[in-house]
Amino acid sequence: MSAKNSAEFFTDNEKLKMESVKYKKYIILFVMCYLFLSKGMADAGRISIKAHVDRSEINLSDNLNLKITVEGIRNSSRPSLPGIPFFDLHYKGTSSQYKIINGNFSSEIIFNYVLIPKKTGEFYLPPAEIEYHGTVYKSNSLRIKVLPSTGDVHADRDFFVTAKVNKSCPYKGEQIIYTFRFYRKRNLSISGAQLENTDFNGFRAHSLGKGREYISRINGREFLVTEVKWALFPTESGEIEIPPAILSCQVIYRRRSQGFFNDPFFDDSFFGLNKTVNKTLRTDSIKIQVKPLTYSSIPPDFSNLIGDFKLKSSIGKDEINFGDSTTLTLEITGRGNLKDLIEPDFSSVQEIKVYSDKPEFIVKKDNEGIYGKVILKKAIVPLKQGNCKIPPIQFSYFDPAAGIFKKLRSKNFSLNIRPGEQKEELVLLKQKEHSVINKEEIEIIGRDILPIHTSSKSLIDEDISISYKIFSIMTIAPFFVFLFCSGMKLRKTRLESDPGVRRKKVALKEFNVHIKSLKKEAKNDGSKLFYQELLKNLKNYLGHKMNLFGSALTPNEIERYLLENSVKTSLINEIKSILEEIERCYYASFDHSRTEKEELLDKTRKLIIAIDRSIT
Amino acid sequence: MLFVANVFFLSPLHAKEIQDNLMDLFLKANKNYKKGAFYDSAKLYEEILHSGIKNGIIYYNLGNCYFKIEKLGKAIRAYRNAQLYLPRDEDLEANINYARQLTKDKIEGKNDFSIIKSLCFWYTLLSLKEVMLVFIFFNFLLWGMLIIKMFKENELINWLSYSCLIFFLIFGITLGVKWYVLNKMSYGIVTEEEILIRAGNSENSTVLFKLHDGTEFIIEGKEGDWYKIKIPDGKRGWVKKDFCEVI
Repeated sequence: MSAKNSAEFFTDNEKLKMESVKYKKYIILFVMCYLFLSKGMADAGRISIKAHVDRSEINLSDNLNLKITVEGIRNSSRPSLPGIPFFDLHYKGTSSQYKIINGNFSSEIIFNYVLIPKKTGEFYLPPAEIEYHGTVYKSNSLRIKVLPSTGDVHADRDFFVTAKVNKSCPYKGEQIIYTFRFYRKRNLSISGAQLENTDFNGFRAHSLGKGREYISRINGREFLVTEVKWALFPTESGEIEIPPAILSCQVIYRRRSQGFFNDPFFDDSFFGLNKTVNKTLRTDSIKIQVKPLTYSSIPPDFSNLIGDFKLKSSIGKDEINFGDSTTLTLEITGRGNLKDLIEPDFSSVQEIKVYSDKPEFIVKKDNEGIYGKVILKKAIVPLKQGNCKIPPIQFSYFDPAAGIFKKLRSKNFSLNIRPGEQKEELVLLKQKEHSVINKEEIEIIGRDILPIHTSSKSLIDEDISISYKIFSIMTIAPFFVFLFCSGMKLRKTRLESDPGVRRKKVALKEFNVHIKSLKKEAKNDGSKLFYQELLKNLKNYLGHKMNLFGSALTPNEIERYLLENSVKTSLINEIKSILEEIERCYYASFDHSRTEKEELLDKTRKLIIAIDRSIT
Repeated sequence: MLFVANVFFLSPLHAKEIQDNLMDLFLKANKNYKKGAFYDSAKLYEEILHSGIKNGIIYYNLGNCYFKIEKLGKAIRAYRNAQLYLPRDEDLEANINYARQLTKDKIEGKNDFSIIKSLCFWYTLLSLKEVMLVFIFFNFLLWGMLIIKMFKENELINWLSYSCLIFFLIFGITLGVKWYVLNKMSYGIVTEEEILIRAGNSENSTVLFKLHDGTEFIIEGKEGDWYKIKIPDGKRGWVKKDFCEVI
């Protein structure tokens, strides 16, 4: 069935009602939109700020609820409360209200605080201030009278909180236990309990767990107790105040109900059968006088431990090869500030090298505080062979119960070091030690140019290049040398390949060689050999020059050759006359004296040299 | 150079006097530099250079002075001149690199010759004079080996001859390139804080881009008071001579 058809089943009156419902929806939607969209805008109405407290007279052990109401601003920031030195102020959130009265829209924001008095007296609560668009709005001021607590503050109460420490005068670093207890009557319903203030300034605090619940009887009344503990280690000496711990909760008061609603299911405030009241409970502050350790009495081997401790020591192997390592284990067990341990010093121990491992902390918690153990492992590398003694490791701790420093001492160990291939191992260990060093990147702090040169060579005039003339000469010169050598080589080759040329070139040289040998022969009288050899030598020279067989040369052939080679006629005549004279002496057995022979020899030599020059 | 040439023709006494004066200038310039009077120091080094003395150390010191007074263009110019005389000076290399890092213009070169430069390391390691000397040496060696080879041939001589030929060619080409770059190519550098590079050689021409102090460029041509320049990324334009210096 369509919507159009279904509408036909309604009467006009019903239709009118439906229309009005439809419009109401729009109106509600419009109002909602207006409320949300106008959030952040200032109300056109008057802006005011008011402060009020639920009581103006309280006991020191009581709390005070302060409400600051800001009207006319929908997005107000939290008001400032200048200087309330005699109260601890705890912010408890906001609530908003929107009202439409006679068509006028108004809004208010309520800021809730809990004031916890610190001392008795009559105090003036200064006005709260709020700044809006440059204008400061101030609230009214309040007067509050704080009266001293009367008797046992908890005696007639259904719920209360307490805080205690197990020791009010501990030593600095000594473990004390802070215990917070929340007492409430067994049949009282409490929800949303929240511990707010656990501010332990001046202490190192460790929570000792979620806490425990138990039943306690006080003045004949049974209370359900929730107990939470902290282990506190004072970090400074002197008086330290632990501020009050604040617990906020909701207490549910059941209204008298009967019949069907007398069931725990309806205890919830949702059903409107119970009344829920927000409560803020607080403990008293606790003053602790922390005693310092007397510096003069602190031993040099003090390990910084304060409490009760024991030491166990053991060694891995008591017989090892030289270069090997063994592990010395020190186990410190006890109750106290284990994490403050300063490791014992091994520097004085001779004959061994000690490498420390990271200490292992095993910390446990119980009702009496923190306890546990620290395991210190040291790799021991003996530096000598044979018997090696590890003296007892000794250090002190402070026993606060006895108020004195006590000493802990490890056992005396003796190692038997066997010889072995240890040296290399030792080197490796050393390398390992060095490799642990974290090298840092070099940090460039600044940059600048390098300094000027001050050499006296600066004033020597330098050329950018060699003079082009010199360069050209140096480049070309080897080429010309090469050309010259090539020429030489070519000449040599030609001489070697043409016998005629070669004969011409060697003619004079050969002649001179033979002339020298003839000088000896000239000394022999009546010898034909001298003339024979001289004639042969002379003709050989001329034969070499003419590239003919020398001994077969006739004087006419010689004359013609010499004339062709532009030799002077006088020289030709002279050579002809010498040849005739030698032939005459040789064939006619005419002999010259020794001197004449030498003169002939010299004359011939000079003549040949002259002819040779003429031919060349 | 003319001055130095004159020194040779002057009387020895007069030449010594001039040399002493130059030494005084040099020592004074060094002293000023150490005192932090970089401008005065630069003037004195310039005076030495104007007197005719050309030396890598003077150019290097001058570059340092200009660097200190934040004249990057002039500093790089002086360093580049020093490189002609001191091609292997590590201080000079460090300073010119640092000065180049401080220049404002980041110009990516189109042709990256870094591999060729690494392979032909001797090109930058040796000055023109040194390349010439090495070339002359191999020239002598080559022709000497050829002469020996002419009269006595064996495998060793052959091998040595070919080796000499290779070195002769390498240094011959290097010398040719170096000579061409030094004598035929013209480089310039911006010496003003910021200059405008225009499309033409007139003040009315469109401004193409800007260059800053210390940027080096190739001068492709000259016309009147204008240089036609090309920067390493290939951009071209015209710049007035007054705003830059020739390296």
